[in-house]
Amino acid sequence: MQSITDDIFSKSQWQELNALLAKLSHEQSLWLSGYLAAGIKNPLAEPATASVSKLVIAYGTETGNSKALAEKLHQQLPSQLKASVSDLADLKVAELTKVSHLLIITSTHGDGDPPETAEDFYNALMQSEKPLANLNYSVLALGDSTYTHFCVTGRNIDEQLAKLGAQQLIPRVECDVDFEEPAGKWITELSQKLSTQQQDFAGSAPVHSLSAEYKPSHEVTKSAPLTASVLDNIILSDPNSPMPTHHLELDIPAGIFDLAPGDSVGVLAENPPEQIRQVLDILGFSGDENITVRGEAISLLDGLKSQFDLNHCSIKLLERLTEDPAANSGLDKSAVRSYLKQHHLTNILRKFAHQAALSPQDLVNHLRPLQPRLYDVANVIDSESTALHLCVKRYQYTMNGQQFAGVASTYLADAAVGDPIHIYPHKNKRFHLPDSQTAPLIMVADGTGIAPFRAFIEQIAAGKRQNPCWLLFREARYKEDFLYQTDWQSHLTRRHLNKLDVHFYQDQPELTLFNYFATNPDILSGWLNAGAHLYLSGDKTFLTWLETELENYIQKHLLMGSEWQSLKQQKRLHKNLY
Amino acid sequence: MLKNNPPIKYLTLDINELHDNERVKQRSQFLRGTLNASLETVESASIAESDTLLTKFHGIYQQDDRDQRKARRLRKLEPDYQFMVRIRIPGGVLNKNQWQQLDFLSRRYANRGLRITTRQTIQLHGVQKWHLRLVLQGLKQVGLDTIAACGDDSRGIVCGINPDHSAIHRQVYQIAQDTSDRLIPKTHAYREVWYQKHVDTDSANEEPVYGPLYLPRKFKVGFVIPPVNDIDVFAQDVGFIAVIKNDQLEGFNVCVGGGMGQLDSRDDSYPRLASEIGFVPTEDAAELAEIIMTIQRDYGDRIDRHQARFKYTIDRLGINWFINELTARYGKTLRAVRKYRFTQNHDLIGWHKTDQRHWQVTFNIDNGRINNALQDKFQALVQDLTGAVRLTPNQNLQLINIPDFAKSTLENRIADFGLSVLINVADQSAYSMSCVALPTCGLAMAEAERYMPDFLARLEELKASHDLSATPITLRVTGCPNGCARPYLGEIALTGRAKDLYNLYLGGSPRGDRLAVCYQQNVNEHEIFKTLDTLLSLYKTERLKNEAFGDYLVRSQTLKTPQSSPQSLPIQEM
Repeated sequence: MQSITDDIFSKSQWQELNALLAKLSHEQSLWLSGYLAAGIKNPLAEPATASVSKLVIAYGTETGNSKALAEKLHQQLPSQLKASVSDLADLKVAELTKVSHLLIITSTHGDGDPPETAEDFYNALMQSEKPLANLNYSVLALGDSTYTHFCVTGRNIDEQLAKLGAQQLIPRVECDVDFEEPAGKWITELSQKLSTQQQDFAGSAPVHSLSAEYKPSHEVTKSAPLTASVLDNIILSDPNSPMPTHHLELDIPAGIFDLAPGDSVGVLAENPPEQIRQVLDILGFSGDENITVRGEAISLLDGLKSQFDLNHCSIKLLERLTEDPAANSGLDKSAVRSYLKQHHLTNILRKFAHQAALSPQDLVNHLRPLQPRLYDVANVIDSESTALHLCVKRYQYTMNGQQFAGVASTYLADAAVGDPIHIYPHKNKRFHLPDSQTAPLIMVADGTGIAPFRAFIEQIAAGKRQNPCWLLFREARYKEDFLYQTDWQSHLTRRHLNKLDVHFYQDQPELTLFNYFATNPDILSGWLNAGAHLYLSGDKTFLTWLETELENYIQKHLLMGSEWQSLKQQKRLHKNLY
Repeated sequence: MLKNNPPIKYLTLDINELHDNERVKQRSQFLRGTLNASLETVESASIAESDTLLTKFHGIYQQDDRDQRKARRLRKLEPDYQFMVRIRIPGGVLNKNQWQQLDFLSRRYANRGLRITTRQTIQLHGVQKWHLRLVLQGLKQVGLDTIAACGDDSRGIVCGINPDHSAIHRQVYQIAQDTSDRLIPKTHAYREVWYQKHVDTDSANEEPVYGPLYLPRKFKVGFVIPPVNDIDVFAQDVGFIAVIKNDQLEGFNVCVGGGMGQLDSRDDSYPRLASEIGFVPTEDAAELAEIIMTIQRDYGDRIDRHQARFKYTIDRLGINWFINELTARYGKTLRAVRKYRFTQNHDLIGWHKTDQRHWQVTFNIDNGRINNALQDKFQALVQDLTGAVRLTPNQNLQLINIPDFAKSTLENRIADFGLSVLINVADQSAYSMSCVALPTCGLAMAEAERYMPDFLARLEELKASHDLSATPITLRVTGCPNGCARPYLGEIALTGRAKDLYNLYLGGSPRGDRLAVCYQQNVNEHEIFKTLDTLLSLYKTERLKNEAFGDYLVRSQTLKTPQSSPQSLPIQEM
């Protein structure tokens, strides 16, 4: 964290700045941060690398030695080679097919183990059978010869790459604890070898432009959804919590979606098998019965799986079941709706189905269609993206004392790697980034409401925009629920995110997110007067409350009081509430 | 060698030639660094990397739960950063209030109870960044702080006890406290950062003794009252051995240059027993400690951090050079070393009546960890205590200054709480120590504290099979070669090398006056017990009466050329 200042300031600047900052009160410092953020064009923002470079220097490290050597190698390579440096923790074996030259520096940890952060890459590589005939590589192995399995991680990587058909550039070098000299030789030899090849490794990579117009190759719609398989399904929050938040990555063909940051995808979920089984059992059906849905003959099982809502009973089904709902359910006619809200479909079927001779076709004719659910896309989708990210909270609710699971969130949360998910694009035009490339953005997220902001800031990080960003995030516990924490840290370091405030309501129940505005009135007014756009994303109840509080507060306390009005008039208030 | 050249005064070299850490210290404005900003950073529960060096001087270590690292990385979360807070308790004595406040703070802000360390203090583990100031302010309320509990400075000063010399203990304990006050950093940074109290300072002269670069490495001072060597005096950078004549404290034998830490990967790295250099009168002890520290300040290696420990300075420049330098600075000549004898380095577990008709009772605390039910029991016990609490350098807990009249009540309460098992002298666990290691220590390469119960159970089984259950053996287990549990003095010691692999050291003495020898490298539990089985079997048949396992191994020449202190005298009868 500290070392970044070395890159940004000269020593004397940094000293002067520190001397000044030391004299400021906490409030003054915060005001200054807002003042600067509101006025800046973000000249410090550096573009993130958008795709895998062709020449990759990758390191696996426990103590930082391999990393330092990787950086040294990077410095010694001619800049036109456009090498990139990557932690093995961030490199995927599947991406190696896009790499032409891979220079690996890795230590061996303890007695023969890869460094902890490189474990996933190492294991995946060792199990991989995918040929890498176009890959050139070399390995520098660090170790400690007082251990039996000296340098074994580097050695195994070297041998495995060779086995997969990759070409060794120069032989592996193994270094003991006094690694400087042999490592230096390896670096020099490599940089000489690569310099003489004088090839522009990065140049042959497809260059893409974010502003480039592109048309999807064919239209994906709700009725013709894309089947995307799950690449990854990670639980971001405490896995033991009853409603954990998942991060899903779906495999999509490049260029298939025209989705801007802020847009969503519709997910066509399927009912859980046990729930289908329950309905079939109640009605005494096998599931093999034929039914016709929109003129198409399918089995009842298939219909119940993906076409019909098995949670909410429709009025017409209740009518069909009871003939006279008011009389038979003992309810006033006006109360039928609220009765349906409190009673799950399976319970209603259990209670009434025996008295209504319901055929399979009858059943589906009276069921509500299963609605797709919208989920905000959590990453930037451009013409080259091959993965689409979603942030999903497993939803559970209680009806009449009984617990039920949300259909789509359960479907997504339960999805295993490789499972097919049916999705289609959904535009969310009122929740896009502003036209202005420099207007400040105040982003307020509750829980999974963070998803579109991850795409926003990724877009800024891609280097086409300079909007200063202030992110305010609310979740339950700092330790477990700080969604995408490491992403925000890296955006802060690179100045793609300028200010972050977090409120964890279980840690600090005496506060709310509103306090972060109320204790920073100067920053708030500074940003708003600089034309900031305010985005609210997430839980409707909480954020509607927050909006009212903010409105009252701004009208009463801020400098001019008219900030809120202009915000609304100039359409700088954007809401994505659910 | 450098002996013909004038020795290097590292402090006179250009700062850019020195180790990175020296520049961090220099830039820190007497340990302030960017700590205030670090404590307020919201995106991370950690502090800036350079500040992690500085917090050590304030007794605070940034750590993380290494068990959680991998899972959290996948969850896009930073490591579970947390802090170890080590309190400065020179001599290890706490009054009732202080114990109760520590108990409270640990329950409120820490996560694994109280951990008694080998330097007679308490560590709290798992404190969140957001709570650090609250913890330190809470300590202040009872007159405690964490200054210099870690860092390149004079660490918490240890002080041994001897129930047969209570008055002497009080006197030596007072000298230990005075020495601590004299040797700790004087910077106002501590008050500014942790109590948020601004103090106008003469910034040029904030550290009259240390200067802006403090010491090259940690520096450990200890006092001991023979014949009990509970502090392992030969492991200290500076050790003071009390000399008693006619029940009066006459002064101290001084020994210098002890130290445990080593690196397995470097040949120029080794544990060293302190060398005796002479005798000083009582009133000069604190001053002498300071003078010795300033020699290390000036001549300790500030380029190669590993060679920076005082023991290497002495070996590099020679003990004679050192004594000359010391004499020049002290202005007096050291007198000849007096005779002394150590009989044990473990604690006197159980009840002991002191020469002043008070009582002390020592509880054997496994690995010094007081947590869960055990913590509740001690909370209740201390509530009604007449006397004080003392933490021992063997990670045990002692209640001292118990008047005659309070003894039987206390005995009953100990029995009622089921604590009697902890005052059973025969337990092998009373002779066993381990460091914390995984999951919080960043240096650990293998388990120690969490492995100890399993290892002990097997060792006790093995001892029983050789009919040696009643024979204690000093056992020490550490997760790395740095030596926090003083492994190189153990009769049996394990130092961690990798998951489930250890170096096996043998041949230390039960008096802490001989270095153990590395017997096997990179061995697992199976191999360790195979070795111990053979050696214990030979020991059982060939030992002299009352001969300790370590002493036997040396006498029988199973181990070659261990280093002993000059006055080492094994207890053995033909």
